[in-house]
Amino acid sequence: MTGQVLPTADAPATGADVSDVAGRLRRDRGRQQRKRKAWAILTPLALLIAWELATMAGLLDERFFPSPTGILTDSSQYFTDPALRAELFSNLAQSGVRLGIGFVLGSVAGLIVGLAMGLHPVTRYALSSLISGIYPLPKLTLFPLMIIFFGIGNTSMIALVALGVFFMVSINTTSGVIYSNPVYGDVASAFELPRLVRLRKITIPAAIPSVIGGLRLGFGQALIIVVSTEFVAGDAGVGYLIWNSWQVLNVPVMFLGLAIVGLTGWLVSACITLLGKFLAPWQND
Amino acid sequence: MKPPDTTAVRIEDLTKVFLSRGGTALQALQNINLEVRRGEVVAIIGPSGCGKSSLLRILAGLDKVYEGNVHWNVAGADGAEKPRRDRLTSATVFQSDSTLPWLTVQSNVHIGLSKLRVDRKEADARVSEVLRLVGLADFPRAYPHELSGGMRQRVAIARALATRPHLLLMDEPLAALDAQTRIVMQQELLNIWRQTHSTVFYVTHDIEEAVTVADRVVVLSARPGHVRVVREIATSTSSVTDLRREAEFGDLVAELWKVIAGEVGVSLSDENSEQAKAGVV
Repeated sequence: MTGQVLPTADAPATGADVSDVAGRLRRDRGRQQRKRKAWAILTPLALLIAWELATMAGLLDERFFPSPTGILTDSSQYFTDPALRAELFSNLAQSGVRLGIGFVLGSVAGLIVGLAMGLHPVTRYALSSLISGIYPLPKLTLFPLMIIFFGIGNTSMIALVALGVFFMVSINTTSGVIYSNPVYGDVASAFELPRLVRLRKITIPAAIPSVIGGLRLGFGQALIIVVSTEFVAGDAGVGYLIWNSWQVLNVPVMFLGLAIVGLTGWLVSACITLLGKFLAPWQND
Repeated sequence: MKPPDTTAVRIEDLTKVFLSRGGTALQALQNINLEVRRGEVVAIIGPSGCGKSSLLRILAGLDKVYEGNVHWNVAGADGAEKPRRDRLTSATVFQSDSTLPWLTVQSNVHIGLSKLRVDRKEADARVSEVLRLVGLADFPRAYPHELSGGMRQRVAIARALATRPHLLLMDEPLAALDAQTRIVMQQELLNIWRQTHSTVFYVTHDIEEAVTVADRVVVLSARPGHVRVVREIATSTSSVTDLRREAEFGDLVAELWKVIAGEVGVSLSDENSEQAKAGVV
């Protein structure tokens, strides 16, 4: 076998000017991003305009589907009129307290129990049947039980929110500890890392992405439980506002309540995503 | 006066049995007897599934359930009988990427020293020394996801070297790299070991790699793995490219390939007969 290395034609000058190409690529990328944003904004806007037109043309019954501009003007008095504003804000504060306290309590408990189940097999064997038995129940079915335990009022509602969050966070934390890449555990064992170093530098960081996922699901649960218990209990809050407005056919306020719940869910979900990017920056690369 | 014991680890009559998912016993290793001498590079090759990795996991302390004995000779080189607390018995470089993505390059190396009794200054000195050795001196604060696959494997190698292990365990450390990087890394490993005088237990499925890096090649049989052939390798050159050009290199690779091919043939015909028994065409 013979072979000969053939000389190539003049080698191109290294470091040639590529700024033209780079500029074109940058423009293409910018165009893509603008396109994505435009579609994300224009689609809901188009639907709103269609709704507005349909109401104006009398295709939709204005009692049940007031036009978006109508909803906007009707609900704006809830921010300008002092008495209405106080009512709205006290409802928001009530729901906020239930949501916030319930979410924090449930997350902390879920994290601790989830870690314990992930790290300690006997705890896992003992609790897994209990948790997988209760977890699939729609949480609202446990509301009467919570009222028996904690009485009518905020405490039982907070307890139910915490319970819903607890299951999501604990299950996801456990699977984060158990199912993270096994090579991390191998590194810890092969280098005989002390227990505490292993927990702090290996086990917990490896579980973070899964914990973040659990928090996100948990917050969704919390929102559902707050609104639905307020529907049932009829005791102030955004859920009460929505249900009561429907009962008295004050439909614009019902839509205002829906918008507030939707915005809250969206904002908190975005915050949890940011938290995930901050705590686990390696994840999206 | 008896001569000093130059063994790093002595494996006696090692047998490993697994339980499969269905509960049937599966023998991975059978009566392995093997010695690794201090300062020596031993490569383990064999047909796939022969238990090479099982053997390495036992030496790494990742698998503690086995029959037989593993004697570590961890007395200090200065003749002190007590094992020193500034070296690990063994340190492992894994086949897959084993860098921790949430730690910087230097923290990834640092964490390997957690068990050892070394002060902060000594630890820092060791970390920068091994990073220089593997060519990552300029990237102490980089995160693994900012590095190429080859660089990440260098981090894993640096982490193992920093613990100054009595036995450096390498489980197909270059298998996940592309062909060119693999040859570059073989050369670098040889250079590093010459400087660190490491004792190395090197598992690979690549016969050429085994002949390139090792002082001694051990061929395991098809499952259940037992020592089939032990071959001393005397190399006259420390250049990987020169070595590959030598006639003896080709002869040796061919010779070892014949042994393994025989074993692969055995395991293939076993499988065929089992399939025939099961009525599979």
